[in-house]
Amino acid sequence: MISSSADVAFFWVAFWLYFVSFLCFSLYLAFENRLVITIGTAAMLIGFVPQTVAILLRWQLSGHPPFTNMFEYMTVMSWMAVACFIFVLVRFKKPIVGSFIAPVTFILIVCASLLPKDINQQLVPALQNYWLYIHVSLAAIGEGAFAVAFGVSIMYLIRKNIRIVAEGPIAKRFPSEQLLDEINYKAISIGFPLFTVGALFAGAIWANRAWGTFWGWDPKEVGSLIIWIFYVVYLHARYQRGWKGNKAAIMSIIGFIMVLLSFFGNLFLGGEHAYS
Amino acid sequence: MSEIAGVQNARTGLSPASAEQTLRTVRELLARKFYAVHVKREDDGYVLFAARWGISRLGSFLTHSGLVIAVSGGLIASLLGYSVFRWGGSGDRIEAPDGGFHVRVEKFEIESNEAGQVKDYLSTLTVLEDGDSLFTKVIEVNHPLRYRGFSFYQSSYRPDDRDFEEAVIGVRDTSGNMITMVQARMGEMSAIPETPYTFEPVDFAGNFVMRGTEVFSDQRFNEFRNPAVKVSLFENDSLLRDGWIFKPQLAGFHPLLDDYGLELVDVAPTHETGLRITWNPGAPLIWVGLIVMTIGVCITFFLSHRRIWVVVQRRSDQESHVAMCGATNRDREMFEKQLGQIMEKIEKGGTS
Repeated sequence: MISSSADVAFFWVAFWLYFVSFLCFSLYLAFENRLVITIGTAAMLIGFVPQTVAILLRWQLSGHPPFTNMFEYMTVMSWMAVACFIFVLVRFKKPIVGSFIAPVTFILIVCASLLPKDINQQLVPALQNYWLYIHVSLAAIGEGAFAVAFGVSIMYLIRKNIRIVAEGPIAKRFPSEQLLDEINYKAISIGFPLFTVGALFAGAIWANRAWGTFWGWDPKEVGSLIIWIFYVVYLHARYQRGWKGNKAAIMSIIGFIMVLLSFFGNLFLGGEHAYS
Repeated sequence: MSEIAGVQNARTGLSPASAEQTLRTVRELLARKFYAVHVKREDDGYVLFAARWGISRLGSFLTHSGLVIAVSGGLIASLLGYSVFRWGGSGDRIEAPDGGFHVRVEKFEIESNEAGQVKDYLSTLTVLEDGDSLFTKVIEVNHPLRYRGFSFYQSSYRPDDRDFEEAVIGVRDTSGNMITMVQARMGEMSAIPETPYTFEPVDFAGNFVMRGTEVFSDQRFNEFRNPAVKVSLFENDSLLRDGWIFKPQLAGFHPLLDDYGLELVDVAPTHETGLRITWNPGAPLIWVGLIVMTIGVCITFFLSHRRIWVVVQRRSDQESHVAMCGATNRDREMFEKQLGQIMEKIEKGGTS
């Protein structure tokens, strides 16, 4: 028999492993040490397992996908950020990228840890629909990819613009500027279509089904539209005007700050998304 | 050959097989990776062109076209469509504005879980047109009723301030002692035990207001702030009088009878349903726009138009020279890797 706090126990295991990972990656930036970065990478990879278990357990305990309150949503976002890190690790073989994804993941999971963790067993009628799976999961995964782009963009700006890093021995530990810029673009080009289809389109279709209108100028809808337009501008600036490097990194950072503002806006603005 | 050798990502190599065998190898390798391959025979060998996902070039066009279509649908919806909200209790008829038909609310139910939390709420609606009942449907949130372009959404509910499920009427003697409590329903006669009196609730106001002689229920509130039941009192089946009964803490003691006072102890409400009625002539366009945009966005970001040119030159029956180059509209790094792998396999003389 699984107790109702089992998922939270796994969550805390992942929390502390991500904390260790965050510490190790931070230390690695200061002191080049292979053991430190190996422990940091391992802690993040191992932490991914209990976090996945926590999400699945919560799904089983609540009887619905765990995307129905802010704690659950933020947990899925941090899970996605780690999944992206694993993808980057496998694809580019650059664990140093973890130095900037680990803090983002840790910040996300710290925010999640501060939110109420009660399992919402009775969903309001509007949420009792398969669109919940599509709309919220795709939006959270898309925003997780934006979180990775955010971390990599900070890394890029430091690598490119801070002389002590660009010209010092630390530069050797950083991936090349070109690779960081490429990962930033790739993360956004994965996150953007998922966010577009999940947050906006699936949300509009579900809103039409539940409330009779595709668009209701709900605060969260407006926030998502602004974020979407911002990333559209990013992509067009990159395609049409060749914006790369600093400009692209700064836009990516602003974009993710907007994502966080929209997310925490729930606490102050209410609206149709107030239950999340 | 020289043209290809000068291209930025060109690769050249030697295949340990005849030109024909090398051509077969290249074809097979590319076909496995979903390339459509075209071959042209030359005097000294073959020129091969392969391409895949050319459709991704349409991604940008589809995305932008879908956006224009969806926004057009939204404009049509906001200019020509409408959305109204209506409350309705059991038996009420609600008109579809300019639709030429009504729906009748047959029933409204709230389902709760064991903890008393609302699990679902459902309205049973019958569509009426020209006096005929066409069909009945139970609607709930996410499952609207649709008829002739109109949609009726289960949107909300509130206590019905004109009716109640059951009321508990307290009876006090002249000393103010509660001697009994009687359960009563609208329109049904109830007896006060051990007395010659009976009563029948005939009216109800969830928020009783009296202005002059006019009595009505204040519609501003969604809960009962001053509930009152109007009863007809009978003594041995003959009507004595009509009067309103209130909750005593709100309206004081009302001795409707000479020797007994009646008060409203509790009232279990019935609910009326809140329906949103919409007519959205732009909906089909919005749907088409969203579908086209989804296809456009997916093929823009998840497919890349890749083209590969290969020249196979005959050296001998056991050896051929291969030159290869390619172009892609995205994901250049993976493409370069793919070109490298293909050339590696050609140089090994096999497809595995």
